[in-house]
Amino acid sequence: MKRMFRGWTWEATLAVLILLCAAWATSLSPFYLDPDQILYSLQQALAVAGLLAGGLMMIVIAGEIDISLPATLAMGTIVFARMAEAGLPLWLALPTVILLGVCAGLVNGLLVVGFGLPSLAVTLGTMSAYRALALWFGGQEGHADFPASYIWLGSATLFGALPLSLLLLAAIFALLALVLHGTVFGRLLYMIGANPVAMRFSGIRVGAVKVAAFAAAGGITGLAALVYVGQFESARADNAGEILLFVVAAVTLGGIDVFGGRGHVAGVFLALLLLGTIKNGMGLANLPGPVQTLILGALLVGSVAIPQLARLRLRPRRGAANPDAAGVPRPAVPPHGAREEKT
Amino acid sequence: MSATAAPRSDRLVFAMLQGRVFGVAAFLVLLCLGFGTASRNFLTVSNANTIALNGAILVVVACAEAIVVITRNYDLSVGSVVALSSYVGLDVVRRYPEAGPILILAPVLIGTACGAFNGFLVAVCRLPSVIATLGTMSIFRGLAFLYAGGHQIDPKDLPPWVAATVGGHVLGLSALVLLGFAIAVLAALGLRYLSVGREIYAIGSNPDAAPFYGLRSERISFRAYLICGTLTGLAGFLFGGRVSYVVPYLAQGLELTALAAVVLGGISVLGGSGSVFGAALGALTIATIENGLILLGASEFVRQFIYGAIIVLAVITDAVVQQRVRVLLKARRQRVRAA
Amino acid sequence: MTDETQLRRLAHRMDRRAWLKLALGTGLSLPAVAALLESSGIAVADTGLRIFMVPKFTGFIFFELARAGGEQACKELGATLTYVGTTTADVEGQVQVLQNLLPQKPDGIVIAALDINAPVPALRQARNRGAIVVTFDSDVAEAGRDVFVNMAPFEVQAKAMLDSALANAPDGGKAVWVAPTPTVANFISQKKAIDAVIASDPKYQSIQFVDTLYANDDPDKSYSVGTSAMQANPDLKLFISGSGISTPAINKAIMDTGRQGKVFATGFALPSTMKTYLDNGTCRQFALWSPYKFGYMATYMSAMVKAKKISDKPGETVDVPTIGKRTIEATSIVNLNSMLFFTKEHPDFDNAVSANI
Repeated sequence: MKRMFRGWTWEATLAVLILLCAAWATSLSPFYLDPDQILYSLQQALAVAGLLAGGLMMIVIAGEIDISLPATLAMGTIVFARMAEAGLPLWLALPTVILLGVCAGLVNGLLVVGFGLPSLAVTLGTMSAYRALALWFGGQEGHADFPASYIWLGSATLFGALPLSLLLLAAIFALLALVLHGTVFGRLLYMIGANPVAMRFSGIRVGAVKVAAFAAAGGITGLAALVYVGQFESARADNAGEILLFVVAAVTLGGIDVFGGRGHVAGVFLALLLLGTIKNGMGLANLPGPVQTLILGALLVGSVAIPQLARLRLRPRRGAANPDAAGVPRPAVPPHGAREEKT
Repeated sequence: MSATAAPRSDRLVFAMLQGRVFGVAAFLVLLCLGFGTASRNFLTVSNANTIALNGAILVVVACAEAIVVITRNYDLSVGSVVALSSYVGLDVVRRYPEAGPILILAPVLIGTACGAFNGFLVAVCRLPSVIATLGTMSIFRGLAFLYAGGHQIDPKDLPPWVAATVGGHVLGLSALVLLGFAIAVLAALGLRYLSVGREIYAIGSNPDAAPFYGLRSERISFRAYLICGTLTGLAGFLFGGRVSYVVPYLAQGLELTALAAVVLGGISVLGGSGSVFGAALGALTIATIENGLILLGASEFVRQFIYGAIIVLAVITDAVVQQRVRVLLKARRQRVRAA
Repeated sequence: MTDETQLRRLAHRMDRRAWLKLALGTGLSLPAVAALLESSGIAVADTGLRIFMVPKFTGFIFFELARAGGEQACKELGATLTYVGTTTADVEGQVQVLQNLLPQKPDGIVIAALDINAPVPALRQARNRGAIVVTFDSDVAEAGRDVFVNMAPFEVQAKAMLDSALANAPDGGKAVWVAPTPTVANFISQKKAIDAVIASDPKYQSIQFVDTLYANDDPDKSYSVGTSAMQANPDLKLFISGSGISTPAINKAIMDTGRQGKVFATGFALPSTMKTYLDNGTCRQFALWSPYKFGYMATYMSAMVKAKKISDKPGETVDVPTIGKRTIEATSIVNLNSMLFFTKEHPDFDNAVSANI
C-alpha cells in the first residue's frame, strides 16, 4: 500500500488542501455546503477550463507550451454560432469544429517543430492570429439563439443534479490518464519533455510526437467550444479572454513541471477542483474582487511553499535552484551546448 | 589548439554573440522597410521618435525580464509589479509634492521589494518560478487594487516635476529614450563584466554543474529577481509619469509582451544564453509593429492577424539566421582544424 | 533500520507536521478573514431588500462612483447593497459572480454586463427565483433583465460627444474613434449612433472618421495609440472616445507632442482626470453624466420594482429623487438623461452645464 502511494505526495497534498478549502468555504458562507450548489459551481468554473487544462497538460509534459488555446476556443464558438445560424445540424458542426481545433494545433506544432522555434513565441503569434480570425468570421457582436441540440452538452444534467459537462471532463481526463500513463505515445511525451536531446539520438520521431500533442490539445479545445456554447448560450470573438491564467495555474499547481517530463493527470484534476473550490467559496461570501485575487495568489503560493519549506528543512543542501513541483531536484541534464540546438 | 586558433576563436565568439542579436536587428530592418513601403508616413524622423518613445519603457521591462529568463526562470508578475509600484509610489509623490525627484526612489524601492519577494519564493522556498510568479502576479495586483480603494491618481494630483522628468529632453534627445538606452547598455555591460552577470549566465546555462563551481544558485537567482524588481519599479514610475494618470489596473498583460520581447530578442527560454541587447531590440520591434500597424490604416481584424503573423515571422527569421551562423561557424572551425 | 529509511520516515512525519501547520494556519487565518469581511462592509442585512451590484470590473472609478450612488439609494430605502465583481473585464468571470449570487437569493441584481448574451442563462435563473434584474451602462438580451437603465439614448450620447468635438474644433476635420476592444457592446452602439447622426445632421458633417483604434482601457496603450495615430494622419484633428480612460491619456500625448490647439481629444471622461487639460486649454469641452446618479437610479429602480412600488412595463413614469421624472420606454429601457458638458469655467459635477440634447 505504501509503495502505491509513494510518489503521490503532491496529489495527496492537493487532496488535503481541497478538504481544507472546502471547510474554509463552509465557514465563510452558509450557502456553500449544498451538493447542488457545489456541482453547479464546479461545472461553471471547470467544465471549459478543465478541458483546456487537459489539452495543455500534454503539451507541457512534452516540454512546450501553447497559449493560443483560448483563442482556438473562440474560433470554435464562432464557427458553432455561424453553423447554427445556417441551420446546420450538430453532427456536422461538432466534427467541423474539432477538426478546426486540430488544424489550429497542427499549425502551432508544425511551426514549433519544423523551424525549431520557441513555442511561447509561436503561440503568442498564433494567439493573435486566431483571435483575428474569430473577429473576422464572427464580427464584433455576439451570437445567441442556439438550437437545443447545441446547448445540450454544456447545460444538461443527469438525474437533475449531475452536470453532463463534468462527466465529460472526468471522461476526458480518464482518457488522458490512459494515454499518458498507459500508451507508448504517453511515455514518449514524458521522455521527450525530460530529455529531448537523448530522444533525438534515439531514433524516435520527436517532431511527430510533439505535433500530435499540439493537434490533440487543439481537438480537445474544439470540444470545449461546444461545452462553452452550452453553458453561456452565446458566442463572441473575445470568448475565453481571461481563462488562460486559470488554466496555466491549474496545470502548474497540478504538479506538471513547466520544463517538461513530469506530472500526473490526477494532480491537474485535483488542482482544478482546488481552484474551483476556492473561487466558489470566496464568491459565495461576496469577498471583494481584489481580496479574491489576493487570496487566490496567496493560496497558490502558500500551497506549494509550505510543504516545500517543510521538506527542505531536512534535506541536505543541494545546488539546484529550479527544482520541480514535487521538490525533488531534477536529474542531471546534458551541458548547455547540447541544448543549444533546441532554440 | 595551434597558436593561431586562439585569436580566431575570439572573433568567432564575438560573431556568435552578434549572431544572436543580428537576427533580431535584421528582422527589425526588414520590418521597417516593409512598413515604409506600405505607408508613406512611416519612415520619418518624427515617427521614429514616436516609436522610440513608445518602446522605451518596454525596453526597461524587457531587460528586467531577460535577466530572470537567462537564469532559467520566469517572472510573470512584472505587470502587477508595475501597477503596484506605480500606484503606491506615485501616491507617495502625491502626498509629498515638495520632496522632489528623490521620491523616484519610492516606486523603485517598491519594485525591489516585490522582486525580493519573488526571489524569496523561488530561491529560498524553491518554488517553480511559474507558480511563484503566477501567485505573486495576483498578490501584487490585489494589493494595488486594495491600496487604491476604488480611486485613481489624476494628472492634477502630480507635481510638475514628474511630467518634466519623464517628458524632458537632454541634449535635444528625449530623456525617456536615453534612459531606456542607458538601462539596456548598463544591463548588457553588467551581465558581461560583473561577476553577478557571469554567474547569472552560468546557473542558467547549467544549474546542476553550478554548485561544483562553487556557485550558490539560490543567491544568484535571488539577485536576478531583485534586479528585475528594481528595474520594473523604475518602469512603474515611467509608466505612471508618462501619462500622468495612474490606475491600479494598468499594465495588464505586460508580462506576455515582455516575454515576447525577450524571446524575439533571441534569448532562450531554457536560460543561459542570449543578450540583453536582443531583448531591447525585441521590445523596439514590438513597438515598431504596433506603430506600423496603425500607420497601415487597415481594419482591426487585419491588424490583429498581421501582428500575430509578424511575431511568428520574427521568430522564424531569428531561427533561420541562427542556423546560418551556426553553419558558418562550423565551417570555419573545420577550416581552422584542417589548417 | 538504515539511515535512509529513518530519514524517509522522518520526512513523512515532517510532511504530516507541515499539513498540521497548514491546517492551523488556515484555522488561525479565519478570524483575520472575518475581520477583513467586516471592514469591507459586507455584513448580511437583517431587514429590507438585499441588492447586489455587479460592475464590469471593480476598481474602476466610474463604477465606484455608481456604487456610492447605489449605496445612497439603499440607505434611503432601507436596503443593503453588496458590491461584487472581478478585477478584470472577464466575461466568464462575471457570469461566475452571478452564479455565486444565485444561492443567496438576491432581491435585486444591478449589473453592467460585459456581454449581451453570456450572463443570460444565469440571470434567467435569478429572475426565476424572484430577483429583479436591472442592467445599467451595458445591457443584456431582454430575456435576462427586467429594466435597462441607459445613461441616455444612444443618439443623445452621440450628439454629446460630437457637440464636444465641435466645441474643440469648430471646423471639424479628420477624426479617430477610440474604444477598449472591438466587441464591447455599448461602444459599438455609440459608434453606430455617431455615424447615423453625422449622416443625417449637416451640422456634424465636417467630422470624418478615418480610423477606429482600440486601447483596452489602458492609459499607456491609449497614449501610444494616440501618438501613432497622429503620425499616421498628420492632419488629424480629433480623437473621440466614450472611454474615460483613453481621453485624458491622449490629451497628455497631444500635450507632449506639442500639438495643443491642433489636435483635440474629447468624448466622455471624468472631470477630475480632465481638470489639468481644461485649465491649460488642451481640451475645451467634454461630456459625461453623473456616475453617482447613474448608480443611484439603477439601484432605486431595482428596489422599487422588487417592492412592487412601480412596474417595469413601458409607459410607467418613475419619479427618481434628485433626478426627476423618467418614463420607461419600449423594451423596458429608461434613460438617466442627465448629460453634462464640462468646460474650463464649468469643470466639476457641481457646476457643469446641462447638455440640452
